[in-house]
Parts: sequence; C-alpha cells; structure tokens
Amino acid sequence: MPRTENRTKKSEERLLPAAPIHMRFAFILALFLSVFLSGCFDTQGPSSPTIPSNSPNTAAPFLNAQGANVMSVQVGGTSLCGTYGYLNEPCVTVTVCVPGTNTCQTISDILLDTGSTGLRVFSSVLNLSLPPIKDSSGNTIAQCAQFGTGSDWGSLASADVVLGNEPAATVPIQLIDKNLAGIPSQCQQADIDPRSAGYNGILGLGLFKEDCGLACEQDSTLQIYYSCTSSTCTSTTVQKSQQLQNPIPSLPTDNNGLIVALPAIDPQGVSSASGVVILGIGTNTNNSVKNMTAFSADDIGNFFTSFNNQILDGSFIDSGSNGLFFPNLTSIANCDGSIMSSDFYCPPSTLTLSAIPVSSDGKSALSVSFNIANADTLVSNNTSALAFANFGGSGSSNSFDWGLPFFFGRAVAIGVENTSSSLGTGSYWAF
Amino acid sequence: MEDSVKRDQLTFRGNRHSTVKDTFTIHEISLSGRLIKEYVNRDGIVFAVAWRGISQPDLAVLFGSYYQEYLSETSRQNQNQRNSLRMTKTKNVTVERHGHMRDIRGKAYLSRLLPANITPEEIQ
Repeated sequence: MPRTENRTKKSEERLLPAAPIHMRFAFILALFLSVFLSGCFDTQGPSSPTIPSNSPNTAAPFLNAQGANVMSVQVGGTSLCGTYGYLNEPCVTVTVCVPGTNTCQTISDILLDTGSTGLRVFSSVLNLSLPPIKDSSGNTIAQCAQFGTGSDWGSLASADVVLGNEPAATVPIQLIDKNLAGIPSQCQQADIDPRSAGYNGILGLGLFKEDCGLACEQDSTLQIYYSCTSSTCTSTTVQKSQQLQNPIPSLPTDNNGLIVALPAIDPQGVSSASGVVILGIGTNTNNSVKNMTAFSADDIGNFFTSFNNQILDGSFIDSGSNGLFFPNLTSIANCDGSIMSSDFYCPPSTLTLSAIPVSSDGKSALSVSFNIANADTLVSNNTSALAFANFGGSGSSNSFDWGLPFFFGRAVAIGVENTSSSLGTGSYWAF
Repeated sequence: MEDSVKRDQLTFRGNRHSTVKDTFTIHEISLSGRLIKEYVNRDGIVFAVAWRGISQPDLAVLFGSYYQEYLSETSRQNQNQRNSLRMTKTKNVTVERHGHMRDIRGKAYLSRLLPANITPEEIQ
C-alpha cells in the first residue's frame, strides 16, 4: 500500500485530538445524562416519565409537497435500486451538468444517504466530460470514501448538481471507479459497479458541509484523500473547497438543510414506498417545521440514545442504514444466518420497544417507540417486499443507528452545520 | 502475536497504551483521529481487534494472515446484496463494521480463541 509518510515526531504536532479524548468527553456527558434521565423516571415513576413521546405519522403533511425544492424518493420498486439493491434502500434522481453549461445528464437510482456528504456517481454511468479537480502539483485528487459498511474509490471532478428544480450547485463530486490506478489497501472492498452495489451513485445530504472537513485540511495521514500520478496515489491534505461538498449549502435559497418524509407502511413490508425530500427547513410554505423538536449533533455527527437504561453515546440517524441497529441489551434472538445474516434480529414474535434519543447538548429528549419483527419471517412471507418498517439487528456496542425504518411515517429534518432555521443552528436532526 | 502489536504500532505510527485484564491484555494504539485496540490472550495471540475514528485502518495490516479469507468472503457476499455487509463471517474470523462517515467503527474476533470472560459485545 502507498504509505509514503516519513515522519519522526509528527505525533506531537498533531492538531487533531486522538480519538480517546472525544470518547472521554462523551463518557462524562453520558454520566451526566444518565443521572438526568434516571432522575426523571425516579420522580415521576416509570409509567409516566417526563420525556414526551414522538407523535406517530408526522410524514403525512409533507408527502404531497410540490415545488422546485421537492425531490421524490423511492424505496424498492422495479428500477436498479429495487431490482439489484438491498432491502430498505431509498433512492432519488439527480441531474449532473458540465459546470456552467446546459450539457447535462439525469441519473436515476442514486442512494439517498443522510449519513454521508456529497455526490458520488459511477464513472461508468456518466456520459459527461467533467473537469477533474487537481492539486497544486497538477496531480489528480482521488478519494477512498469510507462509510459505515462500504467504501468508494475514484477521482474528484467539478460538476453542476441539480436537486429537484433548484438552481445548479457547483461542487466537487466523486467519480466512482475501482479500476482507477493507485487504489489503496483501504479501498480493496470498494463498490465495483452499479449492479453489484445496487445503485448508480450516492447522494450524501447529511449534517456537514464537507465530507471530511477540517481534519482532511490539516492531516495528510488520514488515508481519505489522495494525490495521484498516472500510476500511484499518496495520502494528502485537501482544502475544504476541494473536498466533496453537500450541494444544499450552495443553493441560493433552501440552503439550510432538508426534510425527508416517507409514508407509514404495512408492518408486513411493501414492494415499494414513495416519499419526498424537501430542500430547506422553514424556508417555504412546504417545509414548515413548527411541530418538530431539534436534537443537536456533535462534531462527528452523533447524539445520544438512552436504551434499556444505557446511554449509547455514538448514536445517529441515517437513511443509508437499512435497519435499526443497536446493541442487544435485552437478549433478542438473532437470525440463524440461513436467510438474513445473523446480525439481524429474529424474535419469535414482534417486539415493541422504546428508546430515547437525546441531543448532544443534553437539552432535548423524546421517547421513540419502534417494532422489531422476525427479519427471516418478514422476507420469507412477503418475497416481493423491499421496504420494512420493523427491521433491525445488532450494532456497535455504544451506538443506536436509527436507520431507514425510523423514517417510515415520520418527517425528519437534517440541519446543516453553521446554518440556521427556526429550529436552531446546525448541525441537528429534528423530528 | 504480541510482537505483531508492536509491529502494527510502528506501521500505524501511533502511541501505545496497554491495560492488563484477568485473562487478556488490551493494547490501544492511538493515532490522530483514530483509535485501534488489539486484544491479546495469555498465550500472546491477538484474538480480537477493534477500531474507531475518522477513517478505517488498513485491515490488511490489522488482520494479518486472516485478511485473505476475509476478502474472499466479502466478495462472495457482494454477489447477494439483499443482506447488508455489516457482518462477515469466515471459517475463523467474524468481522463487524458500523458507524458512518467521520465515525467509522468496526471489530474482528476469532470466536474459537475468545477467552471465557469476554463476549463479542465487549470488544469495542
């Protein structure tokens, strides 16, 4: 692998904290929160906690939204995402243009991912010639983009990205291409092609303006961005303006975030479900958020979730996760691996559970009820279904991953960092 | 093996901190924005690793001789995408990947060599 750093005492010069400092901070806050939350239960009794509940089906008022700031989103169906993708995969259509021109291409089957930032499109589906993004030495900038479970390798190019009927946002995008020379070891399992990936690309509309941010401006050792000659690539720093960008903050209006609303669906699962992405938060008549509660997120995009009396400090909301993933604190049976993989839950009968998302500043908390059905039974009983609202599995020990099932029947706002709305200043989620 | 922890520390150019437990030792290798943990049993064998941070460490380095069987299993999984790729089980090793961009997490363990007093959930 192309490790070419030759540093001796760089560790002392690091501007970034090592991971343990962040975790220690989170641990202290978690302790504080556990006292705060248990206090609420102690005084009121467990049957009437002071934590309010999130009302059901908040998506309905948004589902018929019309306007230039509206995109439709589909889970399942019969296009590439539905045919070759995975269960609970929400996809949208995006138009990409050569910057400053009307030479454009509309690309369907793009995964809508609120857990990442920026547009990535397989170079094999793109018919446009987009100007590459280069560093000061004239080398191409490439990226090994890492997500919770996958990665993408490819170079960066500048594009006009059109979301809905909004004006174009000119931003760097990634051209996914596993065959691009110089692929680092970290990207050996990167997406290969649209059919095996189950999408033509990924649209990351998350909490942040850039996918990596300050860390990649300052630290050349992170092995995220690479400077590439025709044959080799070396880990490098990249300034924010050349990193993958969330296109939303570049819009003239509707630039403070988005609302994702998906309909409530049959608990047995459905073959397709259609919802909306509305750009902007409280910027228009169609994206008013007066009944929502905002939850601030920390600098790496996490908040807390209290589940079974444990504070899970690395929790997040993510349309790109296809289930609710949380540590198995209540001994739920896992699937045996014969149908769904054995990290999914397969309880003998459907469980109704609840957990309490808590903002990173500790100021907001709402009790959320959710169901976990037997994943093997769901997919076996309804073989044409591609969307499931009660689908979950084991996750990271200190994390509640509120994946796509959380979005069914709910409107979820994602407030971009350093932008503001009536809900507050980003980064935050609201529902 | 224990020596491999030192080698990984050098490869990753991180600082190391060790915690001794009853039947195993946890070596933490911290580097900027990332933390790697290696769990070593009394025989000096690394039976589990865990990572968290802004980017994933090079699993080829971390998994050593188990990397190839991991790679071939993930490419087999890629043929059937209906499941997610959060968990990969080979003959010897179980690998889990979680988190999101800016907070990448994962762990891998050898089920056969897991000491009695630690569960997979406790590896993090």
